[in-house]
Amino acid sequence: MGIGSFRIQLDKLTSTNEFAIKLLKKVALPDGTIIDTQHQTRGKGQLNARWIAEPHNNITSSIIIYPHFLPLDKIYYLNKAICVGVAWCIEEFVGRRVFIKWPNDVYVQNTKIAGLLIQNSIMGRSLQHSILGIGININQSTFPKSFSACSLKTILKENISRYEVMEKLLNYLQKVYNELCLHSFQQIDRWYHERLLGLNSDLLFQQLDTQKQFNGKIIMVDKLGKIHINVDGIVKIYVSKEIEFFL
Amino acid sequence: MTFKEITDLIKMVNKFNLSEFKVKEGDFEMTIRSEIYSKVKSGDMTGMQPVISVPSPVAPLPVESKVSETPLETPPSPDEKADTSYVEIKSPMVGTFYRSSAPDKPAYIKVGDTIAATDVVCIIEAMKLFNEIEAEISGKIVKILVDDASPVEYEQPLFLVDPNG
Repeated sequence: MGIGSFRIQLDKLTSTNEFAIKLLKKVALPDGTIIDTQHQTRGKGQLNARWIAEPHNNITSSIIIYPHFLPLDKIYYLNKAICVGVAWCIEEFVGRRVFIKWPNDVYVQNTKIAGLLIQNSIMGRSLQHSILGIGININQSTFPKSFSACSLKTILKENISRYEVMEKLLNYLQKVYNELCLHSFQQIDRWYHERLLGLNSDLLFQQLDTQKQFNGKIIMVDKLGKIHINVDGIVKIYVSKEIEFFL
Repeated sequence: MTFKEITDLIKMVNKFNLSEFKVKEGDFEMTIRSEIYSKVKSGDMTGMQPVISVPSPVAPLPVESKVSETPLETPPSPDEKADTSYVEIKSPMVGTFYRSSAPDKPAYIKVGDTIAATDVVCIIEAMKLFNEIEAEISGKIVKILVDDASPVEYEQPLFLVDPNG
Protein backbone atom coordinates (compact mmCIF):
# COMPACT_ATOMS: atom_id res chain seq x y z
CA MET A 1 0.00 0.00 0.00
CA GLY A 2 1.33 3.36 -0.89
CA ILE A 3 0.83 6.79 0.54
CA GLY A 4 -2.35 8.24 -0.89
CA SER A 5 -3.53 5.00 -2.49
CA PHE A 6 -6.70 5.21 -0.43
CA ARG A 7 -8.28 8.64 -0.40
CA ILE A 8 -11.18 10.11 1.47
CA GLN A 9 -12.12 13.53 0.28
CA LEU A 10 -14.69 15.74 1.94
CA ASP A 11 -15.74 19.15 0.74
CA LYS A 12 -15.59 20.57 4.25
CA LEU A 13 -14.08 19.41 7.53
CA THR A 14 -13.30 21.03 10.86
CA SER A 15 -9.88 19.37 11.11
CA THR A 16 -8.51 16.50 9.01
CA ASN A 17 -6.40 15.26 11.93
CA GLU A 18 -9.34 15.16 14.30
CA PHE A 19 -11.48 13.45 11.68
CA ALA A 20 -8.72 10.86 11.17
CA ILE A 21 -8.56 10.15 14.90
CA LYS A 22 -12.33 9.75 15.02
CA LEU A 23 -12.38 7.46 11.97
CA LEU A 24 -9.59 5.24 13.28
CA LYS A 25 -11.64 4.45 16.35
CA LYS A 26 -14.45 3.09 14.18
CA VAL A 27 -13.03 1.70 10.97
CA ALA A 28 -9.83 0.06 9.75
CA LEU A 29 -8.12 2.30 7.22
CA PRO A 30 -5.40 1.09 4.83
CA ASP A 31 -1.80 2.15 5.41
CA GLY A 32 -1.21 5.45 3.64
CA THR A 33 -4.86 6.58 3.65
CA ILE A 34 -5.20 10.29 3.01
CA ILE A 35 -8.01 12.41 4.31
CA ASP A 36 -8.26 15.52 2.27
CA THR A 37 -10.46 18.56 2.28
CA GLN A 38 -10.56 21.73 0.25
CA HIS A 39 -12.02 23.60 3.15
CA GLN A 40 -10.74 23.08 6.66
CA THR A 41 -12.67 25.25 9.06
CA ARG A 42 -10.81 24.66 12.32
CA GLY A 43 -7.35 23.51 11.37
CA LYS A 44 -5.21 22.35 14.19
CA GLY A 45 -1.89 24.01 14.79
CA GLN A 46 0.37 23.38 17.71
CA LEU A 47 -1.72 22.99 20.85
CA ASN A 48 -3.94 26.05 20.78
CA ALA A 49 -2.66 27.58 17.58
CA ARG A 50 -4.99 27.43 14.62
CA TRP A 51 -4.01 26.69 11.07
CA ILE A 52 -5.86 29.24 9.00
CA ALA A 53 -6.44 28.35 5.39
CA GLU A 54 -8.67 29.89 2.75
CA PRO A 55 -11.03 27.36 1.16
CA HIS A 56 -9.93 25.69 -2.10
CA ASN A 57 -6.57 27.43 -2.09
CA ASN A 58 -4.44 25.14 -0.01
CA ILE A 59 -3.59 21.59 0.92
CA THR A 60 -4.99 20.63 4.28
CA SER A 61 -4.71 16.89 4.61
CA SER A 62 -3.92 14.09 6.98
CA ILE A 63 -2.17 10.87 6.11
CA ILE A 64 -2.52 7.76 8.23
CA ILE A 65 0.43 5.40 8.46
CA TYR A 66 1.33 2.46 10.67
CA PRO A 67 5.09 2.79 11.34
CA HIS A 68 5.42 -0.24 13.62
CA PHE A 69 8.99 -0.60 12.41
CA LEU A 70 10.04 2.63 14.10
CA PRO A 71 11.42 2.25 17.64
CA LEU A 72 10.13 4.89 20.05
CA ASP A 73 13.59 6.38 20.54
CA LYS A 74 13.59 7.13 16.81
CA ILE A 75 10.10 8.55 16.73
CA TYR A 76 11.34 12.07 16.05
CA TYR A 77 12.60 10.90 12.66
CA LEU A 78 8.96 10.85 11.59
CA ASN A 79 8.94 14.61 11.98
CA LYS A 80 12.32 15.04 10.28
CA ALA A 81 11.39 12.76 7.37
CA ILE A 82 8.00 14.33 6.71
CA CYS A 83 9.51 17.83 6.91
CA VAL A 84 12.02 16.74 4.25
CA GLY A 85 9.28 15.26 2.04
CA VAL A 86 7.20 18.45 2.19
CA ALA A 87 10.32 20.56 1.52
CA TRP A 88 11.17 18.45 -1.57
CA CYS A 89 7.67 18.97 -2.92
CA ILE A 90 7.84 22.75 -2.51
CA GLU A 91 11.35 22.85 -3.95
CA GLU A 92 10.11 21.23 -7.13
CA PHE A 93 7.66 24.11 -7.65
CA VAL A 94 9.78 27.06 -6.54
CA GLY A 95 12.93 25.73 -8.22
CA ARG A 96 15.29 26.31 -5.33
CA ARG A 97 16.08 25.08 -1.87
CA VAL A 98 13.54 25.80 0.84
CA PHE A 99 14.08 25.66 4.58
CA ILE A 100 12.84 23.68 7.52
CA LYS A 101 12.22 25.85 10.53
CA TRP A 102 12.65 23.87 13.70
CA PRO A 103 10.58 22.21 14.90
CA ASN A 104 7.92 21.66 12.23
CA ASP A 105 7.47 24.34 9.60
CA VAL A 106 8.70 24.83 6.06
CA TYR A 107 9.85 28.29 5.04
CA VAL A 108 10.58 30.11 1.80
CA GLN A 109 12.28 33.52 1.96
CA ASN A 110 11.93 33.66 5.73
CA THR A 111 8.17 33.19 5.56
CA LYS A 112 6.10 30.14 6.35
CA ILE A 113 4.64 28.15 3.47
CA ALA A 114 3.85 24.83 5.13
CA GLY A 115 3.40 23.27 8.52
CA LEU A 116 3.07 19.84 10.08
CA LEU A 117 1.18 18.42 12.97
CA ILE A 118 1.92 14.80 13.76
CA GLN A 119 -0.24 12.85 16.18
CA ASN A 120 0.81 9.35 17.16
CA SER A 121 -0.83 6.56 19.02
CA ILE A 122 1.39 4.50 21.30
CA MET A 123 0.69 1.35 23.21
CA GLY A 124 3.37 -0.03 25.47
CA ARG A 125 6.62 0.26 23.56
CA SER A 126 5.22 0.44 20.08
CA LEU A 127 3.87 2.98 17.71
CA GLN A 128 0.37 2.00 16.60
CA HIS A 129 -0.41 4.65 14.04
CA SER A 130 0.65 8.12 13.06
CA ILE A 131 -1.52 10.85 11.65
CA LEU A 132 0.51 13.25 9.56
CA GLY A 133 -1.33 16.53 9.33
CA ILE A 134 0.09 18.63 6.50
CA GLY A 135 -0.82 22.16 5.51
CA ILE A 136 0.67 23.79 2.41
CA ASN A 137 -0.29 27.23 1.17
CA ILE A 138 -0.86 27.05 -2.57
CA ASN A 139 -3.05 29.76 -4.03
CA GLN A 140 -3.85 31.83 -0.98
CA SER A 141 -2.76 35.39 -1.73
CA THR A 142 -3.58 37.28 1.44
CA PHE A 143 -2.65 36.39 4.99
CA PRO A 144 -3.47 37.93 8.35
CA LYS A 145 -0.95 40.69 9.09
CA SER A 146 0.34 38.98 12.20
CA PHE A 147 1.39 35.97 10.14
CA SER A 148 4.64 35.92 8.26
CA ALA A 149 3.33 33.53 5.62
CA CYS A 150 3.53 32.96 1.87
CA SER A 151 2.11 30.59 -0.72
CA LEU A 152 3.29 29.09 -3.99
CA LYS A 153 1.22 31.76 -5.69
CA THR A 154 2.78 34.70 -3.86
CA ILE A 155 6.22 33.36 -4.83
CA LEU A 156 5.56 32.28 -8.40
CA LYS A 157 2.99 35.01 -9.20
CA GLU A 158 0.64 32.52 -10.81
CA ASN A 159 -2.02 30.02 -9.85
CA ILE A 160 -0.76 26.51 -9.25
CA SER A 161 -2.85 23.38 -9.64
CA ARG A 162 -3.70 22.00 -6.22
CA TYR A 163 -4.02 18.56 -7.81
CA GLU A 164 -0.45 18.69 -9.14
CA VAL A 165 0.97 19.76 -5.80
CA MET A 166 -0.92 16.93 -4.12
CA GLU A 167 0.37 14.30 -6.55
CA LYS A 168 3.98 15.50 -6.13
CA LEU A 169 3.56 15.69 -2.37
CA LEU A 170 2.37 12.08 -2.19
CA ASN A 171 5.29 10.91 -4.35
CA TYR A 172 7.87 12.70 -2.24
CA LEU A 173 6.32 11.55 1.00
CA GLN A 174 6.42 7.99 -0.31
CA LYS A 175 10.08 8.40 -1.21
CA VAL A 176 11.11 9.73 2.18
CA TYR A 177 8.86 7.24 3.98
CA ASN A 178 10.62 4.39 2.17
CA GLU A 179 13.90 5.71 3.60
CA LEU A 180 12.37 5.78 7.05
CA CYS A 181 11.27 2.14 6.59
CA LEU A 182 14.89 1.31 5.74
CA HIS A 183 16.03 3.07 8.91
CA SER A 184 18.16 5.48 6.84
CA PHE A 185 18.41 7.87 9.78
CA GLN A 186 21.78 9.34 8.78
CA GLN A 187 20.52 10.10 5.31
CA ILE A 188 17.35 11.72 6.67
CA ASP A 189 19.47 13.76 9.08
CA ARG A 190 21.62 14.94 6.19
CA TRP A 191 18.60 16.03 4.11
CA TYR A 192 17.08 17.69 7.16
CA HIS A 193 20.17 19.65 8.18
CA GLU A 194 20.89 20.76 4.60
CA ARG A 195 17.62 22.65 4.88
CA LEU A 196 17.65 23.65 8.53
CA LEU A 197 16.80 27.33 8.75
CA GLY A 198 19.42 29.36 10.58
CA LEU A 199 22.01 26.58 10.70
CA ASN A 200 25.42 28.06 11.55
CA SER A 201 24.25 31.65 11.29
CA ASP A 202 24.31 34.22 14.06
CA LEU A 203 20.81 34.50 15.45
CA LEU A 204 18.97 36.15 18.29
CA PHE A 205 17.25 33.68 20.64
CA GLN A 206 14.75 34.24 23.37
CA GLN A 207 14.01 31.99 26.31
CA LEU A 208 10.24 31.76 26.56
CA ASP A 209 9.97 31.60 30.35
CA THR A 210 12.38 34.39 31.33
CA GLN A 211 12.16 36.42 28.08
CA LYS A 212 15.95 36.54 28.29
CA GLN A 213 17.60 37.13 24.90
CA PHE A 214 20.98 35.92 23.75
CA ASN A 215 22.98 35.39 20.58
CA GLY A 216 24.05 32.04 19.27
CA LYS A 217 24.38 29.66 16.36
CA ILE A 218 22.25 26.58 15.69
CA ILE A 219 24.53 23.56 15.44
CA MET A 220 22.03 20.76 14.98
CA VAL A 221 18.69 19.17 15.87
CA ASP A 222 19.39 15.87 17.60
CA LYS A 223 17.54 12.54 17.34
CA LEU A 224 15.09 13.56 20.04
CA GLY A 225 14.34 16.80 18.23
CA LYS A 226 16.22 19.02 20.67
CA ILE A 227 18.09 21.97 19.26
CA HIS A 228 21.79 22.46 20.00
CA ILE A 229 22.93 26.06 20.09
CA ASN A 230 26.47 27.33 20.35
CA VAL A 231 26.39 30.24 22.79
CA ASP A 232 29.84 31.80 23.24
CA GLY A 233 31.56 28.48 22.68
CA ILE A 234 29.25 26.54 25.00
CA VAL A 235 26.67 24.12 23.58
CA LYS A 236 23.23 24.62 25.05
CA ILE A 237 20.38 22.21 24.37
CA TYR A 238 16.73 23.22 24.31
CA VAL A 239 13.33 21.69 23.63
CA SER A 240 10.86 23.53 21.45
CA LYS A 241 8.82 24.98 24.31
CA GLU A 242 11.80 26.67 25.89
CA ILE A 243 13.03 28.87 23.14
CA GLU A 244 12.29 30.80 19.97
CA PHE A 245 14.55 32.56 17.54
CA PHE A 246 14.33 35.54 15.25
CA LEU A 247 15.31 35.61 11.60
CA MET B 1 -24.65 12.64 6.51
CA THR B 2 -23.87 11.20 9.92
CA PHE B 3 -20.45 10.03 11.02
CA LYS B 4 -21.79 6.48 11.23
CA GLU B 5 -22.91 6.65 7.60
CA ILE B 6 -19.46 7.88 6.59
CA THR B 7 -17.71 4.99 8.35
CA ASP B 8 -20.19 2.53 6.85
CA LEU B 9 -19.40 3.86 3.38
CA ILE B 10 -15.66 3.50 3.95
CA LYS B 11 -16.19 -0.08 5.12
CA MET B 12 -18.29 -0.77 2.05
CA VAL B 13 -15.67 0.62 -0.33
CA ASN B 14 -13.10 -1.64 1.33
CA LYS B 15 -15.33 -4.69 1.44
CA PHE B 16 -16.41 -4.56 -2.18
CA ASN B 17 -13.07 -3.34 -3.52
CA LEU B 18 -14.67 -0.33 -5.12
CA SER B 19 -12.36 1.91 -7.03
CA GLU B 20 -14.25 5.11 -6.45
CA PHE B 21 -17.32 6.18 -4.58
CA LYS B 22 -18.87 9.63 -4.57
CA VAL B 23 -21.72 10.87 -2.51
CA LYS B 24 -23.46 14.22 -2.60
CA GLU B 25 -26.25 15.17 -0.27
CA GLY B 26 -27.24 18.80 0.05
CA ASP B 27 -23.99 20.68 0.52
CA PHE B 28 -22.22 17.57 1.82
CA GLU B 29 -19.83 15.98 -0.64
CA MET B 30 -17.45 13.09 -0.13
CA THR B 31 -15.28 11.03 -2.47
CA ILE B 32 -13.54 7.81 -1.49
CA ARG B 33 -10.91 6.36 -3.81
CA SER B 34 -9.13 3.11 -3.23
CA GLU B 35 -5.84 1.78 -4.57
CA ILE B 36 -7.75 0.24 -7.48
CA TYR B 37 -8.67 3.73 -8.64
CA SER B 38 -5.05 4.83 -8.97
CA LYS B 39 -4.20 1.57 -10.74
CA VAL B 40 -7.01 1.96 -13.25
CA LYS B 41 -6.05 5.57 -13.81
CA SER B 42 -2.37 4.85 -14.32
CA GLY B 43 -3.21 1.95 -16.64
CA ASP B 44 -1.88 -0.70 -14.31
CA MET B 45 -4.92 -2.81 -14.94
CA THR B 46 -5.87 -4.12 -18.32
CA GLY B 47 -9.24 -3.03 -19.51
CA MET B 48 -11.87 -1.29 -17.53
CA GLN B 49 -12.53 -2.47 -14.08
CA PRO B 50 -16.15 -2.80 -13.14
CA VAL B 51 -17.04 -0.41 -10.40
CA ILE B 52 -18.15 -3.24 -8.16
CA SER B 53 -16.06 -6.39 -8.21
CA VAL B 54 -16.49 -9.61 -6.33
CA PRO B 55 -15.58 -9.15 -2.70
CA SER B 56 -12.15 -10.58 -2.12
CA PRO B 57 -11.98 -13.25 0.53
CA VAL B 58 -9.13 -11.44 2.23
CA ALA B 59 -9.77 -7.85 3.18
CA PRO B 60 -7.05 -5.78 1.52
CA LEU B 61 -6.06 -4.18 4.76
CA PRO B 62 -2.86 -4.33 6.73
CA VAL B 63 -3.17 -6.59 9.74
CA GLU B 64 -1.92 -3.75 11.93
CA SER B 65 -4.88 -1.54 11.23
CA LYS B 66 -7.16 -4.19 12.65
CA VAL B 67 -5.97 -2.95 16.01
CA SER B 68 -8.30 -0.04 15.68
CA GLU B 69 -11.17 -2.40 15.03
CA THR B 70 -10.81 -4.19 18.31
CA PRO B 71 -13.92 -3.52 20.31
CA LEU B 72 -13.23 -1.02 23.01
CA GLU B 73 -14.85 -3.13 25.68
CA THR B 74 -12.04 -5.63 26.11
CA PRO B 75 -13.12 -7.88 28.95
CA PRO B 76 -10.87 -7.60 31.97
CA SER B 77 -8.69 -10.66 32.25
CA PRO B 78 -10.16 -12.87 34.95
CA ASP B 79 -7.69 -13.59 37.67
CA GLU B 80 -7.86 -16.94 39.38
CA LYS B 81 -6.44 -15.67 42.62
CA ALA B 82 -7.51 -12.29 43.86
CA ASP B 83 -4.68 -9.86 43.28
CA THR B 84 -5.01 -6.56 45.07
CA SER B 85 -1.75 -5.07 43.85
CA TYR B 86 -2.04 -2.10 41.53
CA VAL B 87 -0.36 -1.78 38.15
CA GLU B 88 1.32 1.34 36.84
CA ILE B 89 0.95 2.83 33.39
CA LYS B 90 4.35 4.32 32.63
CA SER B 91 5.47 6.97 30.22
CA PRO B 92 7.07 5.45 27.11
CA MET B 93 9.07 8.61 26.50
CA VAL B 94 10.35 11.94 27.77
CA GLY B 95 7.87 14.73 27.19
CA THR B 96 5.00 16.75 28.59
CA PHE B 97 1.99 15.01 30.09
CA TYR B 98 -1.48 16.18 29.10
CA ARG B 99 -4.72 14.72 30.40
CA SER B 100 -6.82 15.94 27.48
CA SER B 101 -6.39 16.41 23.73
CA ALA B 102 -6.76 20.19 24.02
CA PRO B 103 -7.15 22.67 26.87
CA ASP B 104 -10.88 23.04 26.15
CA LYS B 105 -11.50 19.29 25.93
CA PRO B 106 -12.42 17.00 28.83
CA ALA B 107 -9.77 14.75 30.35
CA TYR B 108 -9.43 11.32 28.73
CA ILE B 109 -9.86 9.61 32.07
CA LYS B 110 -10.40 10.39 35.73
CA VAL B 111 -10.03 8.50 38.98
CA GLY B 112 -12.64 5.77 39.25
CA ASP B 113 -12.99 5.27 35.50
CA THR B 114 -12.87 1.76 34.15
CA ILE B 115 -10.54 1.50 31.19
CA ALA B 116 -9.86 -0.99 28.43
CA ALA B 117 -6.39 -1.75 27.07
CA THR B 118 -6.99 0.27 23.92
CA ASP B 119 -8.35 3.33 25.68
CA VAL B 120 -6.35 6.51 25.36
CA VAL B 121 -5.32 7.68 28.82
CA CYS B 122 -3.25 10.78 28.09
CA ILE B 123 -1.07 12.63 25.61
CA ILE B 124 2.67 12.89 25.92
CA GLU B 125 3.90 15.74 23.79
CA ALA B 126 7.52 15.51 22.78
CA MET B 127 8.93 18.18 20.50
CA LYS B 128 5.61 18.87 18.79
CA LEU B 129 4.87 15.20 18.29
CA PHE B 130 1.58 14.58 20.02
CA ASN B 131 1.48 11.02 21.26
CA GLU B 132 -1.76 9.46 22.42
CA ILE B 133 -0.91 6.83 25.01
CA GLU B 134 -3.09 3.74 25.17
CA ALA B 135 -3.54 2.01 28.53
CA GLU B 136 -2.24 -1.43 27.49
CA ILE B 137 -3.94 -2.80 30.60
CA SER B 138 -7.56 -2.84 31.62
CA GLY B 139 -8.94 -2.01 35.02
CA LYS B 140 -9.97 0.87 37.19
CA ILE B 141 -8.00 4.09 37.58
CA VAL B 142 -6.98 4.39 41.22
CA LYS B 143 -4.69 7.39 41.08
CA ILE B 144 -3.30 9.91 38.62
CA LEU B 145 0.31 10.42 39.55
CA VAL B 146 1.25 13.41 37.42
CA ASP B 147 -0.22 16.90 37.13
CA ASP B 148 -1.58 18.12 33.82
CA ALA B 149 0.98 19.87 31.58
CA SER B 150 3.98 18.78 33.62
CA PRO B 151 7.16 17.22 32.26
CA VAL B 152 7.60 13.45 32.53
CA GLU B 153 10.59 11.17 32.23
CA TYR B 154 10.99 7.88 30.41
CA GLU B 155 9.38 5.08 32.46
CA GLN B 156 7.87 7.53 34.95
CA PRO B 157 4.63 6.11 36.40
CA LEU B 158 1.61 8.09 35.21
CA PHE B 159 -1.41 6.19 36.49
CA LEU B 160 -2.14 3.57 39.08
CA VAL B 161 -4.60 0.97 37.87
CA ASP B 162 -6.45 -1.71 39.75
CA PRO B 163 -6.51 -4.56 37.21
CA ASN B 164 -9.35 -6.23 39.09
CA GLY B 165 -11.32 -3.04 39.43
